[in-house]
Amino acid sequence: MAETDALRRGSGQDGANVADRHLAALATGGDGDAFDLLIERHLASVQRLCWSMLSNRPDAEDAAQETFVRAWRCLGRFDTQRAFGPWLRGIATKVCLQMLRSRGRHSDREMSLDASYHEPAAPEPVEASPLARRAVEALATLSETYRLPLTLFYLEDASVAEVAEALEISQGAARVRLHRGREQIREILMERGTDDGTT
Amino acid sequence: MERLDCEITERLVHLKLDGELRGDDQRLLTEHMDRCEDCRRLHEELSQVDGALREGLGALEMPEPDIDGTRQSIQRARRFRPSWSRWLPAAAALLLVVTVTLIALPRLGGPGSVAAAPAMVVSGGDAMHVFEPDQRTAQSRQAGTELQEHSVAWGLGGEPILLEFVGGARVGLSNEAVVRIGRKSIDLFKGGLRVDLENAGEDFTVVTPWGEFSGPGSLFIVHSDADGGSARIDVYSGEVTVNSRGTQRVLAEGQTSTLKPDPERAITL
Repeated sequence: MAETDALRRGSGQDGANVADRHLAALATGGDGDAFDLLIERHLASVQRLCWSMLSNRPDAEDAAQETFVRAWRCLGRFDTQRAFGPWLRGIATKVCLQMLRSRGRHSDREMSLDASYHEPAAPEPVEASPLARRAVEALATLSETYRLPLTLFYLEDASVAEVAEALEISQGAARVRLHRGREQIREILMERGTDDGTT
Repeated sequence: MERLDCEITERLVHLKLDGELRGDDQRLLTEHMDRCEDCRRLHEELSQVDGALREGLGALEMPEPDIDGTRQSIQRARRFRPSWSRWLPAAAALLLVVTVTLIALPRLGGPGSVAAAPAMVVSGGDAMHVFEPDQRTAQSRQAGTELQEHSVAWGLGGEPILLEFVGGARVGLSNEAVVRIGRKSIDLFKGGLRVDLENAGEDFTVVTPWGEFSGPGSLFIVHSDADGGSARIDVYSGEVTVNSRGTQRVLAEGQTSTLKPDPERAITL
């Protein structure tokens, strides 16, 4: 545990990545304390990603927990030369995609179940400029086709290639979706800017 | 001078925001925008969208993450055993006992045969590795199980487990690892190992088809790819001596090496 205590400390992105890799190595060897620390370090970012993708807080919490369960089960396949966070969020993306596909199959039933549900549809930015808040609101109105790649690109700071890999689409398709999604948000912001007299 | 129409310019603006605009295209974009008011305005608006999304998504207010709930989910997952896990270890054990017995028969009773003294103890973890010839299945509730020298562990999935050798070496097995236990060594046939020799009181060697590794006081991971075509070693602390394909070298902390199969070190079950 002394080793994991030492790993809890760590500064900077490089230090964090090194600490993650050490913790993952310890967890691979069966060290539950090390995996608990990985949960502490990454649960918030995974949950944020899941909520942004699913636009539903209870589902996002379930997806985040499922992400860590799957990560624990396949730790032996984690490439310790890669950063742990992106690997974990790749699992989270797959979990969310499966939940979204499942939602699609059961959409009629879920709509009736959700009729009285009043949780916020998506997380909201605090301490952000009015334009940034409006952009996030506009993002939430887009279809999944455009919302998911934009979320991964901006929230996770992913490259086009990483977006394509996460969504299991070609890089060309990812690029087109990013461009069209960005264009749709521009149009929404322009319309609202005209409506309320701001840009 | 090359000219761009506005439709192409719009695409270049998006590529710029994607981080994929190359030098020549950047120059063409700049030159076109110097001449075209509409495209200059489009570039400005899309850049604002870009900045607003980055700022807005970075400032999302999230509830306190449920760390305890997540830990409990993992505890439940550890306890869960799919139905096939009840009979598959036994089936694999039966297969292995036949194989290992056939291999071990010539050694039994002969000069230099190894006494079946306890070589190690399962000291933690939660797994479905089957150890032969004792037909022991390493699971968390069997922590403390003594294993015999020459036992073969066959991973059947489940969580990694941790083995502690009598000399103090601690070895974690990935869930798909197949290994054979020695008194001061371990043979890895496939999968991965995490080898902790920081508290080992005596020499310990990891033998694999890709090379042989030793390093008193070190901590390293060896992992083979799915088809066994290569393996990688990552050194986390100390120094590890690597013997492979007729050469010897030392890897220091933080160093990594990818190895191809060593014909002289082919080992079989």
